[in-house]
Amino acid sequence: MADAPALPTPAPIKFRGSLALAARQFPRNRAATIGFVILLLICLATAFAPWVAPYDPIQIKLSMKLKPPSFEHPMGTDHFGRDVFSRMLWGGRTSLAVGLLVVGFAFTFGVPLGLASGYFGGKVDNMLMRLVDAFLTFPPLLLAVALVGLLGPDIKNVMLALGLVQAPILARMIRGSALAVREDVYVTAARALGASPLRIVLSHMLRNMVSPIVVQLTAVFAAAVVSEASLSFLGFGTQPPEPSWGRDMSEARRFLGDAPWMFLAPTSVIAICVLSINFMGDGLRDALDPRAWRTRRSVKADA
Amino acid sequence: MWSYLGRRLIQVPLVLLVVSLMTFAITRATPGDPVTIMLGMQTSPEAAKAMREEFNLDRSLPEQYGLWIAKVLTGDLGRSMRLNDRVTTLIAERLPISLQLASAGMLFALLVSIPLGVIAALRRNSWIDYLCTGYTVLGFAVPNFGLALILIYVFSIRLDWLPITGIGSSEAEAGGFWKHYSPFIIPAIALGSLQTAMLTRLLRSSMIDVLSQDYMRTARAKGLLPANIVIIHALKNAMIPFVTMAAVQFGYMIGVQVTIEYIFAVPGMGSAVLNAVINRDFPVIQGFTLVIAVFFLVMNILADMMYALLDPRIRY
Amino acid sequence: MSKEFRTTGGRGITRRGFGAGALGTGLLLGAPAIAQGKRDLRVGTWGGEFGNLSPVIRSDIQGSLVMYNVFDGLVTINFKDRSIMPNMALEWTNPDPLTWRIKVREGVKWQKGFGEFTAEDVEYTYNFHISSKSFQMGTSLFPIASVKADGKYVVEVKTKMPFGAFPGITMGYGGTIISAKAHKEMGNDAYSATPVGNGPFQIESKKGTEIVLARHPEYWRPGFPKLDRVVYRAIPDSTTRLQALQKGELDFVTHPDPKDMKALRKDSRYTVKSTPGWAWDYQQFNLKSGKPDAPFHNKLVRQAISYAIDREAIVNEIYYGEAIATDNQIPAGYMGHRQPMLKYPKNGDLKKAKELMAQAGVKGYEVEVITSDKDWLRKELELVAAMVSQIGITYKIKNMDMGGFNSLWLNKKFDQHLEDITLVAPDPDATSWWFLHGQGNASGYNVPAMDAMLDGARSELDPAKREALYHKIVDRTLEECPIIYHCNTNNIQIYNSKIQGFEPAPQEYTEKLDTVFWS
Repeated sequence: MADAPALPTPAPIKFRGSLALAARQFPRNRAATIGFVILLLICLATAFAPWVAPYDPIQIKLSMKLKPPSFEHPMGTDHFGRDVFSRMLWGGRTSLAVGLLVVGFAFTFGVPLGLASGYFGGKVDNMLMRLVDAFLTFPPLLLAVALVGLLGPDIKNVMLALGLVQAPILARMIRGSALAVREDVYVTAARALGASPLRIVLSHMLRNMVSPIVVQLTAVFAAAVVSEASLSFLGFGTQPPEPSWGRDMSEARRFLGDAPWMFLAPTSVIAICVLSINFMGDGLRDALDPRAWRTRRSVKADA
Repeated sequence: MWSYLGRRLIQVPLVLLVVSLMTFAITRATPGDPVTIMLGMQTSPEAAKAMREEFNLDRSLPEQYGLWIAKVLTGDLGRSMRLNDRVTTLIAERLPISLQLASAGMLFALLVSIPLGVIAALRRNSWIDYLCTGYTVLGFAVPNFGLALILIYVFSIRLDWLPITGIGSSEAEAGGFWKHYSPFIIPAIALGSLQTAMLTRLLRSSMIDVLSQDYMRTARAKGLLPANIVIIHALKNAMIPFVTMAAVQFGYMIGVQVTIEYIFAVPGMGSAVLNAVINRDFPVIQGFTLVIAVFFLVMNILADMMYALLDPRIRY
Repeated sequence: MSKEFRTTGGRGITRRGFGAGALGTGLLLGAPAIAQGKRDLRVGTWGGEFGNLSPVIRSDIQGSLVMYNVFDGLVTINFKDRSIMPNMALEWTNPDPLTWRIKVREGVKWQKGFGEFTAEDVEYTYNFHISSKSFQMGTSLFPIASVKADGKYVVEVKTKMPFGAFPGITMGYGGTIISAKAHKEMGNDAYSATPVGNGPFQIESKKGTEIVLARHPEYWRPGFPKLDRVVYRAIPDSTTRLQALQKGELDFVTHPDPKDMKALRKDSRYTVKSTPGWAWDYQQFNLKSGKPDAPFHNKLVRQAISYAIDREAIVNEIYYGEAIATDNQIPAGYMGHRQPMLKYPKNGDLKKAKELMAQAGVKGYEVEVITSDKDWLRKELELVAAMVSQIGITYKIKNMDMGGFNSLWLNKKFDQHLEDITLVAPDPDATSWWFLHGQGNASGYNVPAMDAMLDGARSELDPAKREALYHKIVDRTLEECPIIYHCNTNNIQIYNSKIQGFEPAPQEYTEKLDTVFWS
């Protein structure tokens, strides 16, 4: 094995080195590459929606309502005669922003919390986990409604609420992994060699937990996009006429029989987006995990 | 282990205190005066005053909280401002329904995720693995209300196999086994879809992790262990995060049923909280949140216990 | 007079009615019921859960849907001519301006063996309201000075002031009487959980989302009710409610998604009732909002908005024709009704709207508009926002939940809102006073001349003069637009076509099922 994790190696240099290796490894996973490309395309298309979208997403044109997909409207029109494709592009801005910000929020608060709790154990663990428990016991919707009510209905508050729901879930998950990794041979060894806690956490534990973190973060992203839809479904999400995938889905449900394209467009773009993220997550996971590298050299070294 | 359990149980009241304080703070900070909402704009000032007094809303916030918590300690969660029923009565009505629905959803998730996760991990990068990934992605990507609507369309409307409503209705409960439980099927599948996806994914990746450990690889390569033992051993290890996640998710499912309860008209905990939030029915919000919290905490302690049982390396 | 209206609160994504063709089903009613089939009925209503049903505790909108089947009030309203009809009160006299003598019906039995309905019950109920300072003190019982039973069947009520609306308001809205015996024996809490009434059905069981009613065997009207059991279930989602009807899980539903009405009207398995309703959608401006120079404080701007609105498009796109476009507050069936559209064209007039904007010297502005959690209102607001954007006005939409909305609305912390409202009293006073009088409305609209007209119309006894006053009030409202009316929405029910005898009303709170039967 080229990069035996059992040794307490001088981490920073090695870490950077292995990142470079991982970067080289990533494109070898075809699904991951495709996922990455699709996600990039979706992000670009939504980011440049003002230039890419063929129509104004909020301009109501009743004479054009519920038209099936055609050359002019590749994904048909909705109940107010708006172009579904344009709304999809514009809506992506909201939905992806919600997803990304919630991931950022969850990562910023969840990972340090989970790591600290899992590594230190004992009193710290106890205290942090009680806080996490208290947060987790809140019905997420109540939290969202309360915050939206408190701060006014606004997508920012929805993000905050979803972040507050997701961060403790991530923390708990990370803590579980940390608890297990803490007992692994290399961590015990590093500790025996007198490595500082920060170094152990960052260079040994965190590194070996990259895959669960990545898996969980992709889940957080998906959950955020989907939760935003659920909140919108119940009427607590994005404010009209601003398009968002979730809200468009809940609007489209009434027309499931008459105009399935209205339902299919946002639903499938969410599905494609999450699918890409997951494939990318898998690719990253494999690329970051030296044991999963598929190179001729590592196969030889292994044998 | 037992002392750990004891310590955890002692902490439960502490968490509940934090939860109750947080709920109290959120309800009181939210705009929306329950008295105006309940009585309307044209009510007499005396009626409003009487109602404020009845529910202690005329007192200071610490007093309100103190009076409430003192009652809670005697097992009295107060009375709904809108429904005028005791909160405990409402919970007794709704908790069993929510538990049944969450159990049905979790049962579905386990039945699907365990075989799917194991096979996907063993046949990594095969078509079945991709199928599994695709399936789980749908679980993540399609919001449960979307899935519910599709399932209703296919199984209730087109095929006419399953009922749509009926959970908790006296008609269904008085009927036979099928009449009683068939209304659970579609909501449970829709409710459990996210958990199915999560658990499958988690099981797959933890199985892969375990299988790629050096000792496993060596043992397998040398043919020291028969395949089924490998699987059982790997599964046992992979089960650690799986069980935690399942328990946590089960606790979580009580609070996330709202959209499903809304579509299928299920008289569960979630819709009660939603209605209470909309009407600013403080005693109901506080009481239900507390019960949801208790339930969640119990599930978490159970998860930790199972964690310890399954992984002998973890010592408490 | 007071609470003759209430916002249609609750979580009813579906509540709405519809409009045109109640005629076709009239023919079916003639069919003789020779052998009655089923004797139970499953009803699906909007909303999340049934609130309390006790008439002496805070009123609950959803509980009210069922209450009329459990309690027979002192009087009822004849919707055809808006007259007050005797019910539990057989006759009433007003010997002097401060005294009302009510003769109550003999031989009416309380449910569940609680004896006979008497004048004592009326006395007990009114006194309970007074002593418990119940909500009714603010709405219908405020003029009462004292109540006294005079023998078993006569009640004498003294009022603090002459109160001409006594039969309609005090005996109507405040005329649901409770059983003194049952209330004393059970206690207020148990009574409010499962009240004992004198109506056609008694409560067999009640859960949050389901109420089971059983026939009151000793009901005073011989031969009624025709059903043995009625199960009310609250089904919040309109699509689900309709699907449950079509799958045979329910027999009778209210407030379906109007989108599906066209198809259902053609389906012989179902009867569709759609009654022009006493409910509107309207926009209200806060003329006292924090920004004194807000453009909408100028009445020309408000008129421009009213001209910019295509009310017919709202009726067609949001209600699929199950509503009537209107620009004023007096619907058909009310005194003072002239026609639905009086000043503003039903398709709007953009040119005129732009002229008015220019005349007001307003180029364009942004304003926050709130609405509550009813999905049709949210869609309507989205459509209206698009309409006013054509004259340069940007509506920044804020969809609140009911609690949040009421809190902003009732405390006048809004700039502008779009809401709907259901009236329960058939009098133009109910549609005007609380919306326009300086002391009553949420607009901050305070015009002494308007107040004088409203108060004058309230106390005017000559119907012709009163009607003329309401015409003036309406004209002034149309000119100043503190409120812009969009449409009157219909009250809709769909049910199995084997069900007969149902009598729809312009609003659902007084609908009863005692005459309903299966053929």
